[in-house]
Amino acid sequence: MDNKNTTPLIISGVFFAVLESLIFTLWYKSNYNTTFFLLNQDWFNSNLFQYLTIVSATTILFLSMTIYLILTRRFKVNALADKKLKGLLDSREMFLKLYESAPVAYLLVSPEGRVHFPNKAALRLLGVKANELEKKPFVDFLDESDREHAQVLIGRATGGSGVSDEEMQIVRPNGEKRWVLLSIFPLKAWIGKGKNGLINLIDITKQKKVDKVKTEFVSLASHQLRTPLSAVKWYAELLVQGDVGELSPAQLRYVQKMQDGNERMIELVNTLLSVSRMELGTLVVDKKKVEAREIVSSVLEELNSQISERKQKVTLNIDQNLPLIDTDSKLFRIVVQNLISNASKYTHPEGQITVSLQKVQENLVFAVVDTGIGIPADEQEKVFTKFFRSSNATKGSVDGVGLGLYIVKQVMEVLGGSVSFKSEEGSGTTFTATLPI
Amino acid sequence: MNKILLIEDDKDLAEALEIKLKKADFEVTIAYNGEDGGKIAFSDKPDAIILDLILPGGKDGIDLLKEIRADDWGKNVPILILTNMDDIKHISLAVEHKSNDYIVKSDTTLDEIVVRLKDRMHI
Repeated sequence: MDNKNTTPLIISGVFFAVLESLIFTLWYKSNYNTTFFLLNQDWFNSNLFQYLTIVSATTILFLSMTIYLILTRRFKVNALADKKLKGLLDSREMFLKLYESAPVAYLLVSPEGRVHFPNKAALRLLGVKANELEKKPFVDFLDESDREHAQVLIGRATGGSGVSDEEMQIVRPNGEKRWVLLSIFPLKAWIGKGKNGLINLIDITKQKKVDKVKTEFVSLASHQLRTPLSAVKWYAELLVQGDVGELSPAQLRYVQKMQDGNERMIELVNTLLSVSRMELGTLVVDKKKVEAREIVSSVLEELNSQISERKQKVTLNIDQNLPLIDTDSKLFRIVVQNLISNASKYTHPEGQITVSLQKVQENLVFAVVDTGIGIPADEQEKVFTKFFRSSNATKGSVDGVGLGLYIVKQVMEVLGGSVSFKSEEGSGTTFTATLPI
Repeated sequence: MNKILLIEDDKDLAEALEIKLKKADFEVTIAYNGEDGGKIAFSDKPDAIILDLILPGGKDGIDLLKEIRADDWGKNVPILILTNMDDIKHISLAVEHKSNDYIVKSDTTLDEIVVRLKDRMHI
């Protein structure tokens, strides 16, 4: 209990005692009209004696009450303080238990980068005992190639700026390496002066291995599937072009059908590989200044036979003064190709397709409007999910695997743009891809 | 007649391409692995090399590319990588070691390969 709490009580106690004495003195004077200090009178029977007795008794009463109030208050405050202290001790104990037994590795580093208070998970991850770690430089437990960078990060974190999710390799005393995600949170000094860092290490060795296996599988599958497809492609080409002798018209037609089937298979393998790369994050974006109009023209040329065969009418609405856009032409081409090809596939023969390319504020807006079968309203939220095929498309036996729009969405996100659509079943669909210029 | 060294481990693919190259008036030698490819390259000194990346034996396409580019004769010989590996790692390695072209087999017709070969050989 501090002075601030007792001082008003003491002051008020003394104040009331003095006030009471003054009031009683005035009353006494007005009633007995006598002079104090008349020592020749019988002292014990004198009015003065009665007066002093009453004043003393009431003063003692007031002062006792004040002391009582002060003491009771002090006890209450002491009890509260005890309760608070217990709460703090409980929280501290709970925190220490959590810290000690957390499945994630935690340790503290001083501004010089020395380790303090490693928890059990940190000892397990680093493969050491507590005394082998305490006060040792943290970077000593990292792969040599990561040490310099880690020291910079520790300096940054103990200077006040946090560091998160830096991939590094730690090296255990037995030489085993583990991949970790390193984060450092600045902390008020627990040790010495200045700031310390709370290091958090997450073991990602398993994920790294899985990623590697997946990447290798994708690479292997790409090679293994494409080799026989290449053989069919090239031998069919030799046959169709008569490089190994003339074919009869029927033979030629059948070989061409094999060629078409093989091309579809190659496209499917390429699509699956693109999806895997996107999911693995290994799709590389190579941005350059690109003429979007040229990409659209070349895709339309490529799809010309498909569109003409279905006797569809294509209307172009392309801004002739479009600026160059900073994007990856191969990836943007995938978007354009998928959206126009879909419009043709899902629009009835003799239907209408409008392709537009416009600058709207600081964006390039590419839109494809068709008069096709549309997408049922209750299926629209799934349009950009993997392997989605609308029920009316499946019923209509339109070829497809349901990856095109998934890829379009992923690619647009990688390019920093977006894609949206409006559709009405039986009337048509509009897809709009927007890219910042 | 221009001499072409085709280093390709898949015999079917090598045969199809050989037919097309001969039709285009090239003299074609085929090596089915990296070791043989290297030996033939340095002994025959062809006018251009078509090189697969994944090859059996101890030497793959990138090893051979490095070896040939390190040689005086090999510095300027057109080398076209012909592979089905189209991941960024392989493409980057091929570019880093100065291949003249990078062709993905399943995406390219034989006619296109001949056109690109002639283009790289300036004929």
